[in-house]
Amino acid sequence: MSPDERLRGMSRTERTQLCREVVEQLSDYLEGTAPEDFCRRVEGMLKGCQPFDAYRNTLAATIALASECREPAADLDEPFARSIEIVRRRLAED
Amino acid sequence: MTSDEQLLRAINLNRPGAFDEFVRVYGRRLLAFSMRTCGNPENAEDVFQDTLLKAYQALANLQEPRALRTWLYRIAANNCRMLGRKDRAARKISLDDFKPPGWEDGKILEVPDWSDLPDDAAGRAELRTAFEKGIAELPAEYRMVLLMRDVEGLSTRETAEALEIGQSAVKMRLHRARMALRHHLADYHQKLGGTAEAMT
Repeated sequence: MSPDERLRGMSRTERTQLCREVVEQLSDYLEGTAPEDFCRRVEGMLKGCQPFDAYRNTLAATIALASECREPAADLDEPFARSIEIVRRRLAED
Repeated sequence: MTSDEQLLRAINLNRPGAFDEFVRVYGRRLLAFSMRTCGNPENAEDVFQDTLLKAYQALANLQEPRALRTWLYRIAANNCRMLGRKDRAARKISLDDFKPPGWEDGKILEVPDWSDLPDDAAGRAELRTAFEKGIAELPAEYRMVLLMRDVEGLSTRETAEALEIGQSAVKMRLHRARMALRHHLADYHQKLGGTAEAMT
């Protein structure tokens, strides 16, 4: 039975469950936490697949950009100082 | 560097400078998280102040120092959620929202590869602005997961604990949020005219 036929035979709940499992495994794969045999299978199946390479590369770039946002922006200095002053005052009142 | 254990001990013993140290270690991170989560700077400042106050006053009851970071993000997330409920109903989002054109018809997808990011400071800054805009457009529950995992560096387990959801839900939301951002950035690159020629 082809994957398409298997999908067509599934209920909505089964498809949702399958989708959840695939996404979880794919996330683990992309983060390097998936089991080795799963990684080997993915790489074997998708070797030379341009859309998958592009998908993996752009997702990795998205994650890298997110980590670049880790350093808080300088424009937080003013609200930060103002907030700390307010919290200090409120702690002293309590 | 102060460990969470040392920090908690200093706070519990009411040592001079304990509050300053607490703020130095976690303050800016929590404010940045609140700003990005709330979107609205005024709400974010309220959330931040409330988080610091609640946390500092309740820190003595925290038994496990290793749980400190997760616990702080949980307080901040709950404060953001409470304000969010007042502002607007939470928007649900499904995987369908992120399906690229052609998916339904079973066509072979043309996925643009824009992962070669600019090296120059100006290009990078512009990209970061576009990225921050993409984060701001995510529904709150997805935004929080992405911020905790990819920006703040919490693990899947820590994020699940902070948001009081299952690890499986964290993975799903994170994937959807990353996909949404990926599409947002593809649109940005298309507008720039770079690698976007292959998109349609």
